Order: sequence, then structure tokens, then C-alpha cells
Amino acid sequence: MKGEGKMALEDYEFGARRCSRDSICKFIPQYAIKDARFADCCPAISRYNLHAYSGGGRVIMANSLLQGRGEISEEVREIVFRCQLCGACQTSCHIVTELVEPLEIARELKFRCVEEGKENQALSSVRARLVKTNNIFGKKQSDRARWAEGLQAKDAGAEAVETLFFAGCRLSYDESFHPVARKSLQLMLEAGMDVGILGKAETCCGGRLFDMGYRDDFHKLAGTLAKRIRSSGAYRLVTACGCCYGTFRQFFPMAGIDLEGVEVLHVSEVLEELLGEGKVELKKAVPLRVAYHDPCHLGRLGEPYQRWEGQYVKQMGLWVAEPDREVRRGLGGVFDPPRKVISAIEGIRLVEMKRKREHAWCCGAGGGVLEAYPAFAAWTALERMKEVVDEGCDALVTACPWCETTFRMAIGESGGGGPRVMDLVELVAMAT
Amino acid sequence: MALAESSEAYKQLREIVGDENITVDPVVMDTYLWQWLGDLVGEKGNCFMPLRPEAVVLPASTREVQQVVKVCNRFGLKFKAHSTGWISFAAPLTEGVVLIDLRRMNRILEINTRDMYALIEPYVTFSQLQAELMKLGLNCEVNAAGSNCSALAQATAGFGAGYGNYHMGYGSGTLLGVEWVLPDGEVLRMGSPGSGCGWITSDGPGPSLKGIMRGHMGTLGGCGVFTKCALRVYHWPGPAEIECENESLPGYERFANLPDNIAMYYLYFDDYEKRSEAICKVGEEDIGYVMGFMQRGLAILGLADTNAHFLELKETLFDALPSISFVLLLATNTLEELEHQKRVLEKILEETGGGYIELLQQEPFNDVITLHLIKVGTLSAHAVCGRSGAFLCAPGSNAVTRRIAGRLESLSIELKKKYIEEGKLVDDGGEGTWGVVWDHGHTIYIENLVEWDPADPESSMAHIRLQEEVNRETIEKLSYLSSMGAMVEGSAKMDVEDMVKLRDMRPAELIEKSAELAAAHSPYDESLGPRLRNYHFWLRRVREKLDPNNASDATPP
Repeated sequence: MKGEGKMALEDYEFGARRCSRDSICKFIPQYAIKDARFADCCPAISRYNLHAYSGGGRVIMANSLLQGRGEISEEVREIVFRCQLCGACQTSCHIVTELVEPLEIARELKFRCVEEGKENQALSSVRARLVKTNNIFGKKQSDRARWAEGLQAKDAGAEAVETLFFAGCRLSYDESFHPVARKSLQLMLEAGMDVGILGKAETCCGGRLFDMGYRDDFHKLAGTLAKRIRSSGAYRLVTACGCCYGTFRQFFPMAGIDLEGVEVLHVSEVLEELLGEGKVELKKAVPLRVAYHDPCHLGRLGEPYQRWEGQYVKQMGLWVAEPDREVRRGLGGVFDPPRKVISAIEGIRLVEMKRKREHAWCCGAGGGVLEAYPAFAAWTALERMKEVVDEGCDALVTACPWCETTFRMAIGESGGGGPRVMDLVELVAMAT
Repeated sequence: MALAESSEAYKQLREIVGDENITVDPVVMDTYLWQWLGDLVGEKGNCFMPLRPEAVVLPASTREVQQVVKVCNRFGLKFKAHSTGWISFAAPLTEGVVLIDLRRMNRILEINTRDMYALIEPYVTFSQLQAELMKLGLNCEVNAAGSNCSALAQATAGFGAGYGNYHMGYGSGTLLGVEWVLPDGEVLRMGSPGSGCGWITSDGPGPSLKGIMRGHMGTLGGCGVFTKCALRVYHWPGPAEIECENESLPGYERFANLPDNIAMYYLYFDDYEKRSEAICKVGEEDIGYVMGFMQRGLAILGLADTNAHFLELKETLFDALPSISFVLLLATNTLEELEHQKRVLEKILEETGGGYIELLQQEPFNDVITLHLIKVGTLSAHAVCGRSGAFLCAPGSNAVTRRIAGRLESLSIELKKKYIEEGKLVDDGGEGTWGVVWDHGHTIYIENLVEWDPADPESSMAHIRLQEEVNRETIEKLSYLSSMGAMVEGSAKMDVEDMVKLRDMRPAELIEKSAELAAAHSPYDESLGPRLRNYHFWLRRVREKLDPNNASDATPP
């Protein structure tokens, strides 16, 4: 163990040595496969093919490194960073075994590369500007709250609020997403909720830092942000960003950072609640056939992280977790609220893609891939768009601005056309 | 020793497959060496096989495979084909091997509904193929190891046991035409495609080469590379898409749309003789779609979602289940036909004193077992690999008569108990036998499964000792010296004498011996050959003709 909230590659060796190399980690659950074209779950192995790119391959690379059989070469480093850490490998792996943790090992490999000074250069630059400016784009902190100008939101840094709306970097700085941020906040305010924002005091959640291999920087950034969130007095934190949601629900507790009872919600959960209470009304029909894309950090990685400090004890010849341990299967994420909100809109026909919910295909953005390997991110996004086209949809709806950004970039680079991509809140805005 | 990037061989291989599709990095190549059963061959408590390849390449076409093989011949390298690669002999077994990962060759090239075959490339998995077939009202035999495995590898080069064997035949029996890159790089289209007559048969015109190509249990990475094959497909009376719920939660999977014309029956009997009789009658009456065995210990390993849950079910469920059983799935075109088959089954049970294990025919177990019988999925891996990390069938596991199957099953229970009590093997109550029925009940294929911890040297040694004991007892108590018996004896000798020998050999010694091992017949062959018309000498002569430069890594596993 590397101290509070910090694991080391060695901590995962117990499970790694029991990987049977069954390649289950390359596919969505076998029973969910309904089309040969959409059977893969892992963008990295699907794109690059060498076994090392798969979840299991990363586990075996860890075994190799831990046993001193080789070193982190340039090729190994490239493989380590060409991974969105989308977690699909782990969801599939855990159908077979609870002992192996490919996602955590894949992340630990990134930490190990950074610790050994074998960083990815593109990500090193992203990290430098993020640490300097507290946002991933390197923009001015003073511009962080521009998206909220003219809205009657409380300043949660100055007065107590019940609900804190956390915009995140993409919604704050990317003007194309300002309508999503504004509409999210407006809907809550109009429903009579006591909502505030941190405004210029808001910083990046740090999720990208963590998944790019910069654990220590994440700890610092997230620790400071947590203090600000706690001191707002809010008992609920709402975000419209899937990545931020996953960071609060998973990375914060993983790092031992406690929000002290602040309930973290995605805006889709709040909208579902407000629709149920009649506080949001969907008045207009939206005649679209749409598919919903589950963002990784809202879906399977939105499953709350449960710290487990136990050990495996051999009983009846097999290893049993003591005390009992919740196996991370990705089932505890946010799946139904976005679907319920979409389905509540008149005229909408919501269809399911072949890869959905906890085994949804990644958009390609995560883990620093969008920043370091944009072509790989775009390839991943276009693979998803093939599925949308296959379902005959007019639009792909998602609930994370990072997913939407990646889809838009990929579609644009490939010549445009095809189904449009939109945020859930944008769709709701069309119906209100 | 990996190929130097400056070497001519490396440059030529890279030229063929492209920069992204070749590696000589030790850590990256290690991902092909870590193998299930590696602990039996390499260092104790460690699943790395002892020999790294010279390079790993990923060709995208038959043409590229040919070119890679020719480069190997040119530079005195060996080669080995690798598809989904989930067993120790998927790794190199001699020095100087270029591993050919066929992952990029993953297309279903044709599904011919008229002639009832599917033409596939090596990395098409059973689940992918079955999903496409079901859309057309067709089905394929699925290897019970898991639907994540290569369908081509099973039929051309590996084992082929699955629940569908009951009416679809053994895996190799479903094999039709084959495209085979021979060890010298030439392409042979075997069977009807060789004469431009479509992919309808692997035999003729002229003498069949099927036996030479794959042998009884497959070539296990032997001669050449199979780059395409056609598999016979069968009628599927179920839905075009099987809607499943909880597919990420083992033991809790549910059908969303199980049709009325499919029904699963878990049947028990008072003794093995009665079960044998019932299997025979089921086959004679031609009822049932798929059939298999899962002894109660194994069934519980598969049904529990976690290891802790297994302990709980072992306490609560094991004694509630009968020991002697088999499972039968009925899947019919009409409800009338289903009713007829149910009545026939009822009559067979009356005649054999059998009954239904109703507990397993109800929720929460019915759907899990039914899904597994139809699609296999990951339940097998979950039951035996996922628990501790490794499993193997004790020797004596093989194609046997119905009667011998029962005797092997009971012998296995008796012998496993000591090791289970020592805590060295997973406690399935000794009752971990899995099996399938071939060709309407004429032959049984059984595996007396043993699960152990590959990272614990004592645990894997316990497995080895059990192997020895089962072998000895099998030969002493069940000395049936038909060809079936000879196979049992042969596998026994291989395992006792050679597995332990290999296991105790340090990697350096193994490397030293590798050339010798490659040149020799396998210990299995040496033991079996004299009993089976010295087939191994013929096999060697065939290999010499096909592989003049000895380029294929055809080392016995």
C-alpha cells in the first residue's frame, strides 16, 4: 500500500496472478452479443489488436513487470496510455472472476509510468496547464462562471445552499455547451430548488488527472475542491457531466477524499425526480428516433466505490473475501433516469443499441486518449456511430459533454452527416 | 531471444503486416506467454510459459499468413498459429518461434442457408457466429469451454466438446472445407472448395485429408495455419435474438423472451446403470436438442456469483441435489412436438426409475442453466477458471462408453476427496464431472474437473498428484483395453511421467530440451502408438512431407 487512498501495482498482484487469459475482457457479456459486429467491448484491443492492449493483456504486462521480466519500454508506455480506462474489460472479467481487477491494474500502470518518469508527452502538457489553471483547457479562472451570467443562481461560496450545481470544465469553458449548463440550472431554479454554484471558485474535478496517471496532482486538486464543496453546506451536488459524476462517485472515495454526506447526482436523476413531481413539464413533441449512449463514468463507472480493507482467505480451497466484498460489475451506475427522461418526451422513439448500460461501448474520450491520441478517440467514437446508424436513429443522445465533443469531432473529421449528437438536457430543452 | 529490429527477418515480417502489427518487446510478448496451465510447465506458482517467441505478428489475410510462413522458412524460424489462445499450448513450445496472432482475421465470410454452412475466419468466436446464425433460424455447435473461443480453432485444431454434440456431432464432425496454409507457405483448399465446388464438404474428391490435418483430438498447434473453414450449421427453433437480463451478473441471468417451445429438464437416477439406459433411450427416441452432465459440485460452482456465495450454496444446496444426473434441453418447432417429447421423456423416466431435479428446473436456476445449454457463455469459465484461476480434467477424461463414464465419475469422486480435505483443491464435494453426449448417446465425453490455485505451488502439486493417482487407479480398476482404454492409459502415462518431468524442469533445461522434444513424438504418441497401429510413425512421415524445413512449432504439448 502507498499510504492513505493510494494503492500500488503490487496490491493487485494477488488477482493478477490468477488471470486465466480467457479473453472475456475483450467482449461484452457473451449473452449480450446479438450481432457479430458489435461484440467487442474494449476500444484499445479492437483498434490495435495485440493482446497487450486488452484488459487481460494489461494484467499480464503487470505480471511481467512485477516479476522483473522486462521494463516499461516506449512500446509498453504507448500501450499503457492508449487506454480510455472505460472499465468495460472489468465489467466483463468480473462475470468470470472476482479476483482479477483489469481496470485498476490498467490505471496503476499509468501511475507507474508517471512515477518512473515515462510520461506521455501530450498528457504531460495537459497536466501542466491543468495544475496551473485548475482547468483542462488552460483558460482563465475568472472566465469559469461566464456560462451562468444573467442566471439567478446563488454564490455557494458566499451563502448556504441546499443544492450545488457543479458545471465542470467542459460546460464552463466550451461555449457550445453553455446552453446545456444554463438549461440544467434554469430547470432546477424554476422548479423551486435552492441551487447555487461555486462560480469562479469551482475547479476541475480532477478526474482526467487521475486517469492520465497523475495521482498526486489529483489528490491535491480534489482535496481542495472537496473542502469548498463541503463548506458550501449543500447536501446535494448535481452535475450535468458524466465524467465529473464518475470522479465524485468513484475517484474521490478511491482516493480517500470524503464529501461528508453530500449526495452526488447527475442532472438526469434530478430531472427524473422533477418530472415525477410535475415540476418540469414537457410540453412539446419531439419526433425523433434516438439511441441513448451511456457515458462510461455515468454508467458502469458511476457505480459508487466501496472501500474494502479486508483480505482473501482460503476456504474450501478457494479464495474468499473477508469481510464480504462488493464485486464491481458496473451495475450501480446511472442507467434508467436518462432513459426515463427521454421516454417521457412525446414523439420520441428511444431504441437500445446492442452495447448498452454497463457494457456500453466507450465514446473514446477517457483516460487522456482524446488529448493524447485524438485519432484513436475519433476511431472509437465512429465505431459507436456505426451502431447508431445500424439502429436507424436520427440522433444519438448522451449525458456527458466529453462524449458529445468526441462524437462531434469524429463525425466532423469523417466528413459530417449521419445522425446528430445531442445532450439529454438539449433534448429536454426542445420539449419544454 | 527476440528478433533484432535490424535483422532482415524482422524487416520482412514488418513489411508484410505493417508497423502496428508486429512486436518484439519482451513485456508485450509476455502477454502471449501467460497461459492457463502455464504453472504446470513453467515455474511453480507462475503461469508464464518458459519460451518467448522471436516476434508476434498479426496478419490480416491468408496472403499475409503465407508470406509470414515463407519468411519463417527462409530464415530458419518456426511459426505457430494463435487465435483466441486460451490454453498453454497456444504459446510457443520450442525456441525460435514467430507467433502468428490471427486476431485480425475475424470475419464471417458467408452464411449459406441453402447448403447450411458458415464460412469463417480464425478469430470469429462462437458467440458471434451463433448470434448471426440465430437471426436466420440456424445454430452451430458451441464449444463448452466458452462461446468466447474461436469456432475455427475448435473444428480444425482443438477439442470440440459441447452440449450440441448430442445432435450436431463432435466439433470436428461439423468441419467442412478448409483453407490451410501449409508449413512451406503454400495454400491447400481441402475438400470441395479445392475443386471449386463450394464449401460443402471437407472430404474428397479423392482421399480425405481431414484425418491428416487434424487427428483425433486436433493438431494442438501442429502443422501449418488454418485461415478459413466452413462449419456445418443446424436448424434453430428458438427466437432470432435471445433477450437476456442481468447478463453481467453470473448466476442471475434471466430470459426476457424464453419461448414456450424450449424446456430444460435436470434429471436424476439412482445409479449410473440406469442413467446410461436413459441416455440410450433418449437418443434412440430422437428427442432433445442438447444434452450434458454437470455434477452437483460443478453445478454449484457455476451457479454461485462469488466465492463466498459458493460456500453458502455448498452448505445449502449440495445435499439437496442428487449425485447422478444429466441435463436435457428440449427445443422443438411446435408446441405439439414439445408435448410429445415431454411424454416420451416421462416414459423413459418411468422405465429407468429417474426423476426431475425440480429445484434446478425452477428459478433462480432454470434460466441460468438453460441459457448455458443454448449459448454456453462464460458459465464454464466462471465455474472452473474464475474460482481459483485454473482447472484441468483428471486423466481418464475422454470419449468413453456410457457405462465407463459412470465408473470414471465415481472413481474421480473417491480419489479427489483426500486432496480436497487437505484444502489444496477447490471443494466441489468431489463431484465436478462435466460431460456431453455425442451422436445421440453412442459415446460420452467426460471431464472429471479439478480446480486449483495456479499461484500456489502446493495447490498445483496436489493436482499433479491426483493426476497420478487417477491414472494408476484408472488403469488398475478400469483396464478396458479397447482403443478407448488405450487412450486413457496413454494419457495417463503422458501425464504422470512427463507432466511432472516438464514441471520440475527449469526453463533453461526446457529450452535445452526443446529441440529434442520437437523432434520426438509426444509421450502421448509413444504410449498410444503401439496400441493403435503405430500411427505416430505415419504421422511423423506426413509431417516430414508437409514441413520439409521443420518450420511448424508442432511440439507435443
